[in-house]
Amino acid sequence: MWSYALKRAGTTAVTLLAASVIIFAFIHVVPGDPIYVLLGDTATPDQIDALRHQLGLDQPIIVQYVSWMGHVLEGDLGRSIFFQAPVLSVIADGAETSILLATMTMIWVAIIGVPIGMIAAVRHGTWLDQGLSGAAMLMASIPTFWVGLYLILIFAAWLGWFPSSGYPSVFEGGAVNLRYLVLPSLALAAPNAALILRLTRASMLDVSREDYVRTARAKGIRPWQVVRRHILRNALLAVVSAFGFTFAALLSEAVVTETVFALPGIGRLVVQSILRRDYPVIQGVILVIVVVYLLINLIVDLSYRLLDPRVELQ
Amino acid sequence: MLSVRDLTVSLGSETAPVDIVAGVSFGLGKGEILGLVGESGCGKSMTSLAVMGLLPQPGPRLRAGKVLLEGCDVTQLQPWQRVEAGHGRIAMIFQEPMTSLNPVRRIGDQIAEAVRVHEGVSAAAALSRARELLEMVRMPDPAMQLSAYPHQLSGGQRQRVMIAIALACRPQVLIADEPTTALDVTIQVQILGLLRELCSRLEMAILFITHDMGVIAQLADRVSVMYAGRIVETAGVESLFGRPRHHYTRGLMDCMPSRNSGARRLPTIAGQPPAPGTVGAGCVFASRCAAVRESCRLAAPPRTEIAQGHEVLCAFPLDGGVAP
Repeated sequence: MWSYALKRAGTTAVTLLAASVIIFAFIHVVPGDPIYVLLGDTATPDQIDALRHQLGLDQPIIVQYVSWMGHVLEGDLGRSIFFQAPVLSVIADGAETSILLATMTMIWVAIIGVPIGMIAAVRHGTWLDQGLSGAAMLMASIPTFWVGLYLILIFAAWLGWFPSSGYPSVFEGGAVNLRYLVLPSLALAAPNAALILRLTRASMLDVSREDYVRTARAKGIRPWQVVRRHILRNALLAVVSAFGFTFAALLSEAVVTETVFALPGIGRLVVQSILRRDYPVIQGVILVIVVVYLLINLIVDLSYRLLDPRVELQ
Repeated sequence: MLSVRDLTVSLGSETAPVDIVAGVSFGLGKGEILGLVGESGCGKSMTSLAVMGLLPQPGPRLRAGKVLLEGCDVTQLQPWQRVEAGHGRIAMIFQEPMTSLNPVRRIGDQIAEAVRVHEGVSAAAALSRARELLEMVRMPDPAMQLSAYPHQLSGGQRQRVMIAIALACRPQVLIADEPTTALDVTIQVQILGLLRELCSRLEMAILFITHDMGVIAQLADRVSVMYAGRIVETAGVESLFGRPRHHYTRGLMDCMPSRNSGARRLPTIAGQPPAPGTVGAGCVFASRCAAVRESCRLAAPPRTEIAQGHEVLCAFPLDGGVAP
């Protein structure tokens, strides 16, 4: 167990280092300059040079990388060029929205996708299965911004049940502010629940063809007990990893939904920072996203150990 | 104990069924071992699944015939419905012990689960019964193995667990579908010995399905030979091996290697079995039979009892004697 943890930590460190080099290199390859974004078209060459020197952008890229990395190792991700604030606090602001949004979305995905996928699998081949699978295909195909706009139209504009945009922090307004996240999380849940539904269904059908399910039926166990005790757990093995990656993706890639609902999340922060060429923020956010992916990977692997006795951690 | 009458299993639509098992009948008395032998694809596994009520769905369906367990009709009932109707004392073991146990649940749970289906006992009582069952199948260190997972056991041990699960219902009939095919020869001998012992000790009838004539000769009391979905010959084991009457049975025996066959090439039966659905009005074996006559291709042969307890599906059966 401990040697597994050590090995895991080692590979994580190497992955992070590689990721940091790639992030740094790519950002500086992309054309554009934060100086022009900050000073506009009317700046004089002297002003430009002064600011460039002040931000350390006149130094060779290797020197910039080493100095950035040194600060990162001390826990300092630098200062945002645009916000004039520490990168860490900029990320923290976005992270609150993204974590709550992703969590709420995953709850919808779990309570919609898994049970309905189960029902479709158990009723395999019937009109119910075809209806549910068809609906899932439809949900997976509709763009989230379209679903988002209609949710706003119906539940915010017409019915007035939920706010249509923005998100005031729960730390300022209390848990009641979570209602701002209901519509965006539903919009995000639609395609993801559809995918989990289809995965659960396919996985259960695969498992139900296994020899040990035939053994279970031969014992004389009732059909739904066969599902509960023999099919479900094995089928969920495949679904667990999909859950992990979906969650990670929701944290960092919900740009469109965050834009539709004007939410201050991580996805929008990345895109806006790229447009502003706010190098420290881009680097910091992407590094955090990489860490999150690695962590979720680790959690998925550990949960396999709990679900499947054949998996030995080595 | 078990009586199967005109069992017909079909694929395809209701209007154009393709029979993969066509009118199979056999009976099984108390403590008797009936060998069902035939080559791959002849319908022996489908027969066993149909008898057990385990035909995969969607897939082949039981189109006609009856399965009587102690005189009660259980034809269309799945195992759980049989338990509910009080006719659950039939069990089955399968060819692949490696994949026939649930990989994520402990051995003890899997046996105890079967115990609890058939006997309304507490979880603790079921587990101690599971231990007894493991002892009955001569599992080394049964108390320890209760908490093992399937992947920690060998193939032979897993097949013993499968037998223990089967015994949980105190079966009067055990269907064994090629239970030793996937095992090493030495383990195969042990498992066969165990089945024989359990058969006489528990007075349990066994329907033993295999393609291995040698295993049949060791184990069975009676043998039914299956070809293209039909039973072509049934006889006591000595009668069948001593004096096969069907040309196919004879062909199978000629294909068996013996000590004196030396380095000589083994004979084969020329041709291929007919594909399901391509059998016409005549005898199913006509296309490969060495002694085929014109009339064989036109009309299905009669089933005749050629000697006491020896039935053959052939219009011109052999009159006996084995080639040296």
